[in-house]
Amino acid sequence: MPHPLENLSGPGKPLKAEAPDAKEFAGLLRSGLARLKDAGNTTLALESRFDLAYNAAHSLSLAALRRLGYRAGNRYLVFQVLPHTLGLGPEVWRVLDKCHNTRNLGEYEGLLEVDERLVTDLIAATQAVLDALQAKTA
Amino acid sequence: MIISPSLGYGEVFGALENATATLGRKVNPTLYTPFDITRRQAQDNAFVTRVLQQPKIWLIGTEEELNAPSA
Repeated sequence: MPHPLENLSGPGKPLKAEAPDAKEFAGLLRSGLARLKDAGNTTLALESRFDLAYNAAHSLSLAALRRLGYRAGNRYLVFQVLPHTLGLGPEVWRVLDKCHNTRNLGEYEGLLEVDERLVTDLIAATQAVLDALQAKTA
Repeated sequence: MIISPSLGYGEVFGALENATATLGRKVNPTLYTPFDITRRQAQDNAFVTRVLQQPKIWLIGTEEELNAPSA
């Protein structure tokens, strides 16, 4: 049976095949690590911590997808394929998917509704992505 | 909408996954702590105001509990 990622890639489909690139992977990992660390800085505004953690989650999830030789046409897709890239469950990827929608409402409609609960859970989900990614590459 | 002092989004999404599959649609919960909902009510937040004004199906808890001064 073909890998689910393979089924999602090709003409007219959301993923496209692209060989992994070690430099790109290192850059995404570095950026994800730096932003996740800063997201924990409680002297920053909650909105800033949300942005940092969301972008860390995106970098790390994209790194996981690129590592397997794919690229996504949509930002949200890198979260939705986490069960296939890193074996992560709904307790991680659905949280990130929700944060993607929260981020879009903020960016495009000026309605950024973040609170301590969401930022705490976003950071925990992003940490889970980082741990799974590092376990794969260790 | 879930109001809980300690429940996290990860736990809720983990628990909702079967319901998501059964319903064939995404279940999109909103989680507030008692502090968050009180603050949003005070700020006249559009979403919270709308939900509180409309008829609700209470799965756990009651309208009276939500409006109790100690809640």
